[in-house]
Amino acid sequence: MAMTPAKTPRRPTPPSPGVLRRDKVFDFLIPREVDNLDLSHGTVLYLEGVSVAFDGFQAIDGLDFHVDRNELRCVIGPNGAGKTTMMDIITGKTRPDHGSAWFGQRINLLRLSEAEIAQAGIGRKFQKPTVFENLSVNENLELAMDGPRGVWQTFRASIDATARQRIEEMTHTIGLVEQRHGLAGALSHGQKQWLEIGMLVMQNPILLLIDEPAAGMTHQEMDRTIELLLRLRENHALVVVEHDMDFVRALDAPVTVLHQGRVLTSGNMTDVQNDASVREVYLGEGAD
Amino acid sequence: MWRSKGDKAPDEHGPGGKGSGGQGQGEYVPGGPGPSSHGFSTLVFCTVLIMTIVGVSVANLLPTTHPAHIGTFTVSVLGKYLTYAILAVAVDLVWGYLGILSLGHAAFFALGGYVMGMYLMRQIGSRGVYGNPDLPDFMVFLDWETLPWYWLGFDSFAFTALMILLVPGLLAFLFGWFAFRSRVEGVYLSIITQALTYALMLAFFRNELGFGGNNGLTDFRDLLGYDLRSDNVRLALFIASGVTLLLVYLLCRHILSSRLGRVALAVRDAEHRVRFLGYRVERVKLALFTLSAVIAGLAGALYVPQVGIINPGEFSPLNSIEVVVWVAIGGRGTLYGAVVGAIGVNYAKTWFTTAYPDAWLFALGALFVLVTLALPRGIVGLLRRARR
Repeated sequence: MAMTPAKTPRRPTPPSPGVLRRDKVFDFLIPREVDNLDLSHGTVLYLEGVSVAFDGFQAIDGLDFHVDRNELRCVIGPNGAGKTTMMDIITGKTRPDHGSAWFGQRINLLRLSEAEIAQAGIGRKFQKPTVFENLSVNENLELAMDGPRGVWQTFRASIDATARQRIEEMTHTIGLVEQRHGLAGALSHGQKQWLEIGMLVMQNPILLLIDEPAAGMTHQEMDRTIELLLRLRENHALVVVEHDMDFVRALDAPVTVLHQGRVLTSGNMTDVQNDASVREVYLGEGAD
Repeated sequence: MWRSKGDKAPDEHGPGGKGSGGQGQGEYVPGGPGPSSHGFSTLVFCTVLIMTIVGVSVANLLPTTHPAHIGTFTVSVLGKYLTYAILAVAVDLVWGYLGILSLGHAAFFALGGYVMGMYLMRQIGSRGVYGNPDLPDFMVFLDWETLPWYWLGFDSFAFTALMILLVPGLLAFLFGWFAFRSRVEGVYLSIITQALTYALMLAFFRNELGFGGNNGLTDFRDLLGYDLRSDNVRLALFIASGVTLLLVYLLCRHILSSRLGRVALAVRDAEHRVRFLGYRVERVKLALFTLSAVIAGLAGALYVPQVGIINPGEFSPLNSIEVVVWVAIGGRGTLYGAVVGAIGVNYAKTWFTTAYPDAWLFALGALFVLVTLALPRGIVGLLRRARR
């Protein structure tokens, strides 16, 4: 793309190595917090100055991004804008070269593994639905259900009445009641999407990252997905990445546009669509 | 715990579950190993196994003139097969259900065998060729004056029994701790398990290590004070092997039907996805891999008194690969398939090496190729298909 955005100072120069400074708190002295998520300031997710490059390709370039409590945020952007990479960083799959990522006030996401981040309360739905195909729908939901995750506890785990009821309700919500004892591998693409969304909700995360929920869905299924996401918004924070503009418009939520690994603009859908730079990015230079 | 930089390539399509060395896992196969109710198969398996144990025992106790009599030699051969079956179940636990293709499980088997062998050596006492009450013959031969420290305690059976579980378990724990924490997966893990068993083989070949070098440990006489060569002890060892197989099978089945078993299956099919659900995949793997090694060690400990020898050849990489072939031929991911494969292939081996000694390896290779191409679910898969 011919557009060359002006280079802005991406990150502050690192402070001098102040080993002897008294006010320095070393990383290893800060206790690793997974409990006591502090959301007192209303921010659930805070990314600042995040950069990551893959073999010279700057996938994320000084990204600043934050999500508030109970906020539904849509993220759009052309292919290669860094949407999925951003989710990889938040969930611990990819480590950034620079920048910081905080969950609430206290949890430093860059110091936790994928499993710890998931336990802390960030759930993710992948672009390509990944369900456990050799397990039944019910069992998929069971594994996703929040609870202790230790090896011994998992071995001793049993499904009590409450859990059973939760799983059953979820099969109703995602419309897979009839398939609940069948293997997940036998589901259609759209049904797998639903199952994965159901698994995500069963995890009961504080923040849900949803990558392309509408892919491969019929219009009818899309409407139900929108309905579900709007319902989840009542007590969860959601970040939805989606290419389908009608879907994004229907969610009626603030939109962040990513381009070349940074935030191009933010606002509501109408403003964003009328934004000249966005039109440029999506339609190519010179289209106005 | 953090990955190297090279690992963080962007993955646009999902959690990247296909990166596990291309073992053809993760694809959904109708009728494949799944969570379908195992109550029936467990019942059938236990019934057949118990009937076999009882039947063989009775037939062995019949007078030699009786047409249904089974000789003690045959009983010992069957007992050996049963220990192989235990080993195969251990491999199936990690390969069939967790997706870890271990090509080094014979190492744990051999370690269990060596521990048992040390106890049996100490039981010889002063009846050895050199008549030394403390030192086994090979140590006298090497001009050793005293028993090395790591041979102490093996005159006690209780200590030996503990070590049979502990030695393979500890090795597997240490190995798994580093391998799984560093996320060594798929074919890379298979290769280092193979290296592990090869390294152990080279070490045990050395006389200085103090385990009899090339000749290993042999000339056993007593077990718990009973003469190993007597018919009754041989029968008792056969029964012990059968009962152990039964208990190991039930234990594995119990674990696999728990939520942990479902997590294991999920790890096999989409390891990365499991992490994003909050499970520590490396701990699940470590726990089951260690358990599997303990089971393999137990099998080795039952094997050695029945064959009367343990030498470094048991660590040979080929042995570990053969176990995997048994499981593949029997049908992986079913547990009972592993037992069918282990006993079936070894029966064929006994027959072949008697009738056509040179042809066995060709036959085994051909069988493996045939099963891989025509019967990806093994013999058990064929039977299932026939039943439907």
